Amino acid sequence: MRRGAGEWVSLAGLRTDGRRPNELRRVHCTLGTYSNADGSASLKQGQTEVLAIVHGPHEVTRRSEVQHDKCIIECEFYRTPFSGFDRKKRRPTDRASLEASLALKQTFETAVMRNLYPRTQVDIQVYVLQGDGSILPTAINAVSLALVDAGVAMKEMVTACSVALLDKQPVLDVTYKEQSSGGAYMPLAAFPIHGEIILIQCEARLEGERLEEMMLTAMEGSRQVSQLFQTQVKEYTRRLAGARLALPR
Amino acid sequence: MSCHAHEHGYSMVRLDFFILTGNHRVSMADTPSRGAVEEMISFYSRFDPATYLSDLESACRRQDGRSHKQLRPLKLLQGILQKSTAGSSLAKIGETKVLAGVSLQVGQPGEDSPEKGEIGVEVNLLPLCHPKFSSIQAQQEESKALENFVQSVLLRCNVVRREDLCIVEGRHVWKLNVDLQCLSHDGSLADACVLSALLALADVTLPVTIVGTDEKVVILHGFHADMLLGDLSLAEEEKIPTRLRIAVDCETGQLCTLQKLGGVSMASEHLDSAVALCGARQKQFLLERDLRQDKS
Repeated sequence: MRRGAGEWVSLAGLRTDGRRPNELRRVHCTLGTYSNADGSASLKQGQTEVLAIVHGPHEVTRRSEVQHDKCIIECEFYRTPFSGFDRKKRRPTDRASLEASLALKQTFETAVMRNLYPRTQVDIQVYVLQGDGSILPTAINAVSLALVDAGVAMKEMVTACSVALLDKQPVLDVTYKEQSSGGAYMPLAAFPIHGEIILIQCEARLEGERLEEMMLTAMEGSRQVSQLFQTQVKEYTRRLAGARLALPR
Repeated sequence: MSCHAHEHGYSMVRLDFFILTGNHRVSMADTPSRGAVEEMISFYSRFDPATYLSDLESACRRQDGRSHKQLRPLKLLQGILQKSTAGSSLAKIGETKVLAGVSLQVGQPGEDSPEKGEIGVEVNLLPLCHPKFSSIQAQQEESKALENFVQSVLLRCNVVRREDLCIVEGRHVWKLNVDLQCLSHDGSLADACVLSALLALADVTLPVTIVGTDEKVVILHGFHADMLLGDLSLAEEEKIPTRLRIAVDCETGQLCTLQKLGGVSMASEHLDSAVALCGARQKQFLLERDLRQDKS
């Protein structure tokens, strides 16, 4: 149901799901869910759930494409038919999925220290199990975690956050309803500590000053995500180190 | 600074790095022609791209003599294929040429949007424009990405209101097919595609109603490799893989599209200079348009 202006962020400063404009949804992540893969992570941000699986670094499947000084990163993006609002069987080669895989590939080509793994290939697979807005940022965060689990070296953990302009106010980590409300939607992925932008996309009309505002809000959001992940990753590593003394993984 | 000696079908030459700034100090047996010097630069850039790129940063001229933020000349023609298409245009950015043709069809609207027409975009990249498109796979990858981009600009930035394309709600709507043919590729293909698509759409006169796309959009390709270069030529596109695309409404200066899908990380200050570069392209576009209107 479409709502009029002024009803995405109420007078009390609360959004439709009770969050503040710069509040993230509840994040729940688990690393190492799949023992078959070298690295895996399951990430749930609010109701958006994404599973990322990393295989590698391993030998390059197509010999002709081997690069002598760095590793190749291949990325596939799948959405389950029940992940969206209506049931829709999505092929992995349709435009939106191709664009998402390309975005993921190019983001992680920057993040991963590719020259440490020459003549190898890293395969990343992303499965969107449930989509409630901000799918690309959640996918990027999940892949970051999976790469950490796989032990692939990165310059820094890439974290991403989405921001939208609702009722003339930038709001963080948007849900599906907020994303499809018609306001400007901007996913952003960055190196949070360095403060450098890796991915940014906005396909709606925006005034010049708004861009700055939204970008800064999104950077702040990605910093929040990064802090959350730091604690989670440290916790996971502690558990792993403890478990290694007991049983083989 | 180091010197290179090239023997590449030309006489032995010693080129200083100053060749990039335009005042080349060349000591050799014969004076090479301008074409020979360019050939040498392109050989050197392929041989040692890392040094070439770092040079580009410190020097102030690119391979074709432009400064970092200088744009190539823009030429726009509208209504060139009057017999076969409803609207057509040709956009030239430097040597890149894209021809657009719009054809009309009456059809049934989709179930979830009975009052809206449809706009389909198809991009054709033949080996004609560049030899790298000789395989079907290479053509398809690049053309899908371009189609995606052009369609998102046309639809999401409200260039053409789909409601205007309605004839009888629920029964008949106009379906516009925008076919983009790339005639020559020298970088900034997406810019040229969007500009020609917009002009062709503006050229269309629907038999029932007149479609006026009065909000035209201007695009700039700004690429980043620790520095921001505006309007990349093909040679530069091949070496600098990171893309930053910005589309700006040429009437109001509002930002319409911003896209940087991964690639080298960029400090946020560069965004502002990129948007400012868009302003320069906007002026170029407006100037071109005024020239055309004066002629007609």
